[in-house]
Amino acid sequence: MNIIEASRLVKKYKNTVAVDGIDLTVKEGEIFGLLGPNGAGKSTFIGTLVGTLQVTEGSVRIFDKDISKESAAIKKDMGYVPQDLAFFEKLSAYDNVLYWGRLYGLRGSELKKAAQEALEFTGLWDRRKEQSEKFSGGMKRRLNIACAIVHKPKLLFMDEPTVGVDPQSRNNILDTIKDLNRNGTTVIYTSHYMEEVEAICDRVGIMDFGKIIALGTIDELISAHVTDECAIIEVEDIDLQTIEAIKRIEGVNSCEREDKVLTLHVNPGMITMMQLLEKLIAKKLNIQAVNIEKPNLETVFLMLTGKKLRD
Amino acid sequence: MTILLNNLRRIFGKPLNIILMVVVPIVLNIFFISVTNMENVYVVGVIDCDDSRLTQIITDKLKENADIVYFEDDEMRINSALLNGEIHLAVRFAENYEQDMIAGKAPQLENYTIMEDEDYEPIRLMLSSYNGAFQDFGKIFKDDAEKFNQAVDKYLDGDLSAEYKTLGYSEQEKVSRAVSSLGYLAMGMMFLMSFATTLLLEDKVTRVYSRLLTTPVSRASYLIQHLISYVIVAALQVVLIINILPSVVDISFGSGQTLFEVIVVTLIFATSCIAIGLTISRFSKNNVVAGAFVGLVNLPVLMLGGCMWPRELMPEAVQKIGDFMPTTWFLSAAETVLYGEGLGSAKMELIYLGALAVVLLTISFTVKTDDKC
Repeated sequence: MNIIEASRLVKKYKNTVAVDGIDLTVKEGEIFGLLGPNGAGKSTFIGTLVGTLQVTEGSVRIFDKDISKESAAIKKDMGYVPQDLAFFEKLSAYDNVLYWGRLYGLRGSELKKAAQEALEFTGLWDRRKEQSEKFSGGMKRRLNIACAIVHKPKLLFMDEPTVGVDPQSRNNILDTIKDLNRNGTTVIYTSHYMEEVEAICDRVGIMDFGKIIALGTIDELISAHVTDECAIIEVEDIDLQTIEAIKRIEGVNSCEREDKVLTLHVNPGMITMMQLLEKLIAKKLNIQAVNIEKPNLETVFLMLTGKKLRD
Repeated sequence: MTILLNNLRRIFGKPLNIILMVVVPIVLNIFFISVTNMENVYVVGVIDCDDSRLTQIITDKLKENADIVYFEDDEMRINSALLNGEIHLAVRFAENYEQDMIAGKAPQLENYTIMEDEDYEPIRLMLSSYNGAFQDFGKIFKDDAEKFNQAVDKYLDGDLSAEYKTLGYSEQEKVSRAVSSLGYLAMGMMFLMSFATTLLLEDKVTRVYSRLLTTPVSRASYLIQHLISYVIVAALQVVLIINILPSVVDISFGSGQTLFEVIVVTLIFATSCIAIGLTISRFSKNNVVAGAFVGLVNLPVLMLGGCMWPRELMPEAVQKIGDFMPTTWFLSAAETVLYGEGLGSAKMELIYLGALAVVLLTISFTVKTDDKC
């Protein structure tokens, strides 16, 4: 079943097109990753899906309902973790979660139970009475999530929920997301951290300049967009003549040198890595180390846009 | 109700807010009322053509209530001093004043002013009282200077004197003072309501507002709950201040029905202030923008509406502009009910205030914007 169906979605700010005709469907039970550099339009796209931004053109259906007509019914089963820490810092963690739970219609013992579960789920139950203002960055991020999951949403939007947190807290958050998904929540996850998307997402959409420029599973994206293999080779000494000679080897698409490191992109259909190494040794290169890089989403993004994700 | 209760918690959770909303308006009111009602220093010009014991006695008594400037018996000079405001009142003791008094001729004490200000009445009453007493002694002890002087001494010892304590305010003055006080209260309310509505801005800046709009709570419900929370705060503020103020300064907002009506009028005004504050907050991105708008709106509204000085002091054209200010409608309605004419007589002003609130709130509730800061 499709949980989200966005059709020819456009969001304009005066003359700027932030979201440019996106078509997207997300299936129930997925963790869908939206990957793109800062300014690609990810947050704006999410804003149009969760209803904080007015859609300029196109339509959005969530749970098979039109968001422009039945937003209240949709929002009841939807959770949203914004990029910013959007809760009341003067309140305790428990009071914050109770507050957001009430907004979703929870009351009495049901609310208290749900708040406890959300705080336990995010590992904050023991610190529930503390004023959230005193929390560390990672704890605040987890509270941000707890406020969004207290009503056990069927669909959870997470807009860069790990911005500015330490690696350990980030791993905790990613584990939480996987647990949520295992419990049946469909997750839409935006990030400009390729590693996060690779770690948790079933399917990925790569955004740039307001468009989804590639869509599929990670393997599908790599096989569809990455044709080269990359070898990073550390050598003792090398002259320009030898570099030019390497470039002329059949199957080598490029060879770049930075100090003692050569980065070679080769076409695996024409030459294997073993054959390449044999040819380099034959040219009397003093090889110190070899690293064969596995293609990833970063490579896909680089292939598609010619720039790195964090450029 | 969740947003409403949380707002009240946020407002009353900070002791500073309570000080700003209740204590500061009362202190400001006391300050302004005290300053505007401070006893004026009157300057009395004395023309003493007799230079006798009696004239000295009266002049000494005058000195207790006014500054004294002595003049020669020059009518032109005295007229000029009165016109220039150099003196507020001129008192002339005619030649042989004491002698005529002892002789029982009951001479009059001449006094002149060009301003018909009731504030001079205590001085005039005092002069009349002394002159009248001396006239009576003169008539009783006709030509007996010794007995006359004994009677004067007794009178000065206080056995026969009447002490002037206070001249009660007229009904018009009482209403005028109460309206002035409400003007100062309006000033406090306009600024404090703008301050209170910054909760909405706080929600915007912290992105809580955007997040709230992803919940089943509608924008209208959110704004209505904010509105109600501020109205509750305003109601508490108005009831407390209107009840506390009369016991601190000499002001009366009436009692029973009149007091209730003053509170109703003030609350309707408070609602329109809140509507102004909410509209500003709703369409401002941050506190800086909102602060600029608040200054831009509040100052002209307060100045032109007669909260800082009487509207009558302003040119007619400016008064016409002031006719469109909610503060004008508020003070006019308050004056009407303070005169005991009832809410019905102030219905047009109240309708204007209500309509302003409705229009502004409708704009705030219905105009759709991207709720992204």
